[in-house]
Parts: sequence; C-alpha cells; structure tokens
Amino acid sequence: MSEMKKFIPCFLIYLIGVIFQLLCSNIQLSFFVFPFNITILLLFFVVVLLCRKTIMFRFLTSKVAALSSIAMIIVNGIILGLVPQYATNSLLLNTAFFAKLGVSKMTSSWIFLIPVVFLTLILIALIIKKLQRFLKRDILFILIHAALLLLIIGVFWGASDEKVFRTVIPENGTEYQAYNEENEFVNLPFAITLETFDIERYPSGAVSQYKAEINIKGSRGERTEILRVNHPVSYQDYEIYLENHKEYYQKTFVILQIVKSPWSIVVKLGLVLLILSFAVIPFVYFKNSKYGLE
Amino acid sequence: MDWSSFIYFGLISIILGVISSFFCWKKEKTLLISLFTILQILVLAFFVFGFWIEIKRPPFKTMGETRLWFSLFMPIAGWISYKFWNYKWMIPYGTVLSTVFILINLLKPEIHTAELMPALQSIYFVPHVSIYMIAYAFLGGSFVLAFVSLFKKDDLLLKVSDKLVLIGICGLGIGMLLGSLWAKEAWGTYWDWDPKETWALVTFFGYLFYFHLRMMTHKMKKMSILLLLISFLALQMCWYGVNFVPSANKSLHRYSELQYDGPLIS
Repeated sequence: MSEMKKFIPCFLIYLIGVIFQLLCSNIQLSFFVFPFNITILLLFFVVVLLCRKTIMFRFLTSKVAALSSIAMIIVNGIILGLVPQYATNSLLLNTAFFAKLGVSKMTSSWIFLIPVVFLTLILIALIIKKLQRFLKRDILFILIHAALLLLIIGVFWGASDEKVFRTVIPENGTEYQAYNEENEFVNLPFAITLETFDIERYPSGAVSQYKAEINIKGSRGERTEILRVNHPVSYQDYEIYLENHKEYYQKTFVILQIVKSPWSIVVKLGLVLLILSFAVIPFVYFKNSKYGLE
Repeated sequence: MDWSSFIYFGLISIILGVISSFFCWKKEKTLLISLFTILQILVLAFFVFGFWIEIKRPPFKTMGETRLWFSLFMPIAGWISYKFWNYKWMIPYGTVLSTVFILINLLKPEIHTAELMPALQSIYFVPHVSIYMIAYAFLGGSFVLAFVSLFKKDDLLLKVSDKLVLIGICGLGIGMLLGSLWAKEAWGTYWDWDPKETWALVTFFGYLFYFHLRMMTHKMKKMSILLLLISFLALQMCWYGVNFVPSANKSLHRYSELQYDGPLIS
C-alpha cells in the first residue's frame, strides 16, 4: 500500500488537467504558435536545469513519474480511442458535462495537455540527469529518450505552426488561392495549374494509380511535376498532395491538399533516430545481460 | 500457387507443429523439436512466398493475409524462445496459435485479388505490415505465457515474457513510426489520431509500461501478468477491434472494404 502512496502526486497532476479543463474548457491550439512554443520549451529546459538539486528533479527522474506518465498517455489514448472525436450528432457527448470535459475534442483538452507537459519535463530531466554523469552504457538510453523528446516537440509543440490548405482546380484551370482550416480563402505564394488528370486502371477496371500533372509557378521559378498518391510534390516550404478528384458536368476537378509544416524536419529526425534505436535495442540487450534484462 | 492449395500447406504445417510439440514432452529429443519446427515454418513460408508471386503484389492487404503472416511468425517466435532462451513450451503454444489462425483462414477465406490500390503502393507498405505481424507474434507469445502463469508459478515464464515483449515493443515501435513516415507522404501529416493509430499507441504504451515496470522491479508479479493480458487486448483492438468502434467509420485504415471509387487517399 505504501507503494501506491508514491503515486499520489501523479494522480494530482492528472487531476489538475481535469480541473483546468472544467474551469477553462478547451485550449485554443493557435495559442502555441511560434515563437510561443519555443519560449515554453526553453523555459522548461531552464527550469529543469535550475532545479537540478531539488526534490522536483528527483521526482521527475523517479520510477513513479516515468510509470505515471506512461499510464496517463494510456488513459488518454483509451479515451481518444473510444470517444468519437468531433462528433456533432452524439446526444451523450453534447450534454453539458461531457462538452465541458472536452473528451470529444481530446487533443485540445487540458486533460491531454497536462500529461504532455509532464512527459516533456520528465524527458528533459532524464536526459540532463544522464548527461550530468555520463556513462558509456547510457548512450542508448539517452538516444532513445532524446529521440522521443524531439518527436514530442515536433508533433505536439510544433502542431500549431502547421498550416493546411485545400484547393479545387478544374482541368486546365489555374489557382493561386486556397481554403485554410478556418475556411477562409487565402492567397498562396504560388499558382498551380492542372495540366492533365489521368486514372490508370488494372484489366479488371480497378484503379491502379491517379496521376495529376501540375505546373507550379512562384518566386522559385516554374516547375511541372506529376502528383500521385503517396508521392507529394514540394515547392518552397510547402508540400502539395493529391487528395481527391470529382467529376462535374463531364469536367474533372482535383482537390489538392497543401501543407506547410516547419517542424517536419524535427519530427523526421526524431522518427529516424527512434526507428534506428528500436532496431538496435534487441541486439544490445541480448548480447550483454548487464544492460538490463536479467 | 493460389489460395486453393493453402489447405494442404496449412494442414501439413499443423501436423508438423503437433509432432514437434509432442517431442517437447519427451526428454533428450532436442534435435527433433528443432527439426520439425523448422519444417513447419518452411512449409508455411513456402506457401506464403509462392502466394506472393501468384497474386503479383505483397500479401498484406486483407485481414486474412495478415493472419497468414501471424500463423507463420508464431512458430518462429516459439523456435527462438526455445533455441535462445531454452524455453521449449513456446513451441506447443506457438503451434496452437498458428493452428487457430490457419483454421480461421481456411474456414473464412477472403478474396485475394491481384490489384493493389494506389494508397497501398508505397515502399513503407511491406515493412510497415510485416514488422507489425512479427511484433504481434512475439506479443502473442507473451500473452500465452502470462495466461499460463495465472495457473502455474514459474519465474521462467515472466523472464521469457520480458524478452518476447522487448522484441515486440521494438517491432511495434518500428512498425508504428514507419507508418508515421508513410502517413506524412500519403496524408500530409505524421499523426492524425485515426482510431487505428490511437489503438496502436495504446498497445505500444501498454507494453512500454510493462517493460519499464519490469526494469525497475521484479516484484509486483500479478500486476505484470495483468499488464500483459490487458495490453494484448489493446492489440486485438488495434488489429481488428477498431472496425467495431463508432469512430472507425472515419478511419483511413479500412483498405479491404473500400470501394475503388471512394476517396483516393484512404
């Protein structure tokens, strides 16, 4: 039972999320837009560094904190996995209590944010702790936790800087405007012309590939590219995706998704480092029992 | 080699698995255990790759095809547990699970057309699914061991589970993160909280919790066993359970049921 007592601070941390949610309701994610997200992250680093010798640091690097933060992610994951997100027709979810709790808009809820903050702090503290007294056998530990930190920074703290646009272009048509996520029609820094759209088929008639030949014209010059599913085209800081196609009055329209994600490189670095670590771990662990397992 | 010949390969591999399991009860038959298990694996592998060539696309698309890989990887996980960690009972467990999945595939065959829709034509397709199926097989092994340890007190059970889970976590991790890289190319975002993604994350962190707990303490055995059982439930949710959850209608991962005229990228 005394073991369970140690988890009380973590229960309280999760509870803070619930209380904040009930008091303030969902967060505007645009709040975390650059440079605010960087400022918060730097603040986290500085605070954890300054608290190196305090009980807070010991708590953040404790087993209890590690297990609790994993448990919080599991709980939030289960909520996300069971409760339909952004469902407008659910009577239960639209009741005052559930609407206030924000479980149907989980990713912008305080219940979701607080555990992410907690995990970010834990990862920063763990890396600082291991770097303070550097041991060669901790390399993999540092690598994997640093990669996870990069991933969380890129995916979560960078999410507000991501911009997604959609635009509809008829065959032979040109478009230099697109709808953003708030459904406002905004100018793009380039113009896209749809030259041709083809559907390739298997002998049975099933689609084998969609191909849209587009011409992009902007300050970086003019380029003609072929867009396919799984093969986006990048231009300046934007990625252009072939999202859908429609036929109206015998005319073909394509729907393009245009994404600007400045944190993409951070995420990719985190992903690649993590994948490599996961590929190496079994060999390290099974080669030398000193590294943990038995 | 088309699907109709699966019944022969499936049944032969089951028989070989039963024979090697039988030798697990006999002492001093170590060579025969390995021999029959490897034959069991080879028979299934021969069919899988023959089938791959026949349908002219990687067989990872339908649920039936993922079950096929699971029934192949299960005896492999069993043999590795036996060969490297001296735990021979994974051989009969592996055969039981493999048999179940072979029988499901025989009783509920799916249509395996040669066509691969545009969304699945990616370099990530084969590694993403195959690594997941390897992970599922190892984690299936850890589930069986957790289940057995409910009735039998044996420290070796959880120790072998630790190793199976470690490989499983790495497999889940690689599979999930490759999926994330793929999602960026296909949908423009690394992570979208698609129901399948969400349950994959829950499964991953469930096993991660078990792993961290075991790294920190070897007490709390009941808790550890419970974690293995619950995490495997989450894995079932991720594998096919999501199709029954209300939020799954919007899932981007429903390839096998998709109409060809449906949205392009889904």
